[in-house]
Amino acid sequence: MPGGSEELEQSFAAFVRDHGERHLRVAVLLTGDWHAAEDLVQASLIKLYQAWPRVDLIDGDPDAYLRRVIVNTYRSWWRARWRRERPVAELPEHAARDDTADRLALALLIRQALGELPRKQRAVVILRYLEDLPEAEVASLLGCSAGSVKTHAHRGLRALRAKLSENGLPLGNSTSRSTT
Amino acid sequence: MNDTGQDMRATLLAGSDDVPPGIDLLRGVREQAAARRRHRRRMRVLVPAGAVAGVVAAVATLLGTSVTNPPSALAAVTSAMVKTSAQSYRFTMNGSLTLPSIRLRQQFALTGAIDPQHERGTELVTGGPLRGTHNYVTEQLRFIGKNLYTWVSPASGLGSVGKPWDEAPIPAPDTRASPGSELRGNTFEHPISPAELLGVLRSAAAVRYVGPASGPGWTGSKYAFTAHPAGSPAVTVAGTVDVDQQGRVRSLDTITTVRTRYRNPAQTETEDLTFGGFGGPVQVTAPPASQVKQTITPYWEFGF
Repeated sequence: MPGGSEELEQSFAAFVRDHGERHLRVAVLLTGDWHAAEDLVQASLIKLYQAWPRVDLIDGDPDAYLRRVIVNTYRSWWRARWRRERPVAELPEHAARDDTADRLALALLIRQALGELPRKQRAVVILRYLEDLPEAEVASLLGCSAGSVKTHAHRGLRALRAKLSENGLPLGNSTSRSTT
Repeated sequence: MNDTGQDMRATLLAGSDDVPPGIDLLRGVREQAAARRRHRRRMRVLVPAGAVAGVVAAVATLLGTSVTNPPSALAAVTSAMVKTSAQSYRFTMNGSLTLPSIRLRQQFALTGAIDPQHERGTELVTGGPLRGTHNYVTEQLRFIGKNLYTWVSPASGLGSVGKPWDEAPIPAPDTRASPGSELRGNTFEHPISPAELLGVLRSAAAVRYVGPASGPGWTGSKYAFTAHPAGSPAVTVAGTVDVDQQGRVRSLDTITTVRTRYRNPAQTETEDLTFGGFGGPVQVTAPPASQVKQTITPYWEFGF
């Protein structure tokens, strides 16, 4: 970790540039909308920034530290009911065409389906499958047992598959283009 | 990760694949760093000149801004609006409409992409709550050539009966003279564009340079304006425009207020627009013909 103030800022900016979008994606799937996600990541980055010069506090792994702050901040928001989640209406039948309109609608549809999962189940699904974290690490982040994570992941997967099927979206079929 | 896990990952990636323009993750950190520096400066009675330069340089590094003062604010802003509207762009808009007389407060959010050159565009609108039902409504609009395709969520109780999509010709641009309709409102059947505000700016009483502005990957200038469209003192449009160093509009925030003899304000509409993704591809296809009903005028109401 560089020692000077300007170097610290540059290294922090570089970290956000390299890793920020991935954490933003996690945040938008947790919260359901981009503005809440931006708020969540910004608030978490401020905490990371404060810890940035003290490498021992972040265990040399700022990525994991930021993930933990995001998850904890999100959990505190939902406990405080500070952020009200806005109900979203349904979307037109998806035609699985690779155009801009469908991409925007598809993203909203998936977030809407995720938003219908219980919050803990939603967090487990995102951390387990998008972040590819082992069950033990997800359990540590969410303060529950590995068995509970396994159950939430199984039920979340089943529920999400059912909700997407209702809208004509088989899991990972018409959606897989976004991975490229 | 097994196949099911990979499928789920692909789905989750698709669910976060519509990153809107203008997201600035470092804004909070910059503000805190600047506040800390201001605090430190206040604490120091004597500061060596070199240290001041260092602080300024460091703040500038975080802010990523320059401090140039453009010669003509109105020219810079109108030029940016024309330039931005001539190429493809993505946008997000968050807004609200408040009518105290009927205790109405609605919020709406739009996200979309427009390619004026190829006459293609799409907008996804969510808003509400609707009067009476308290539902939220989702609308999808597709602009293709001279036609507008509109889909309205059935649960809202709005929209057409029968086929899910309406197709109608895009109306000819009007004079945008009606109060509070400059950006959205009554011009909803047209693609969102910063050029919508040009008519207002022509009647602007004042456009002034405010200072530097910056966002993720850009620096530029912030301008403020106040205008009374159609020369009506009862209607005030006030706002700010951020223009980047390439002369493109990056953000456009407005507050439109309408006064009446009995109420001030009688109506308030806020609209915060962010632009980005300039020059990128915008692919929009028409809905299947079997799902489309021809209409004379596009459906655009929110159910106010």
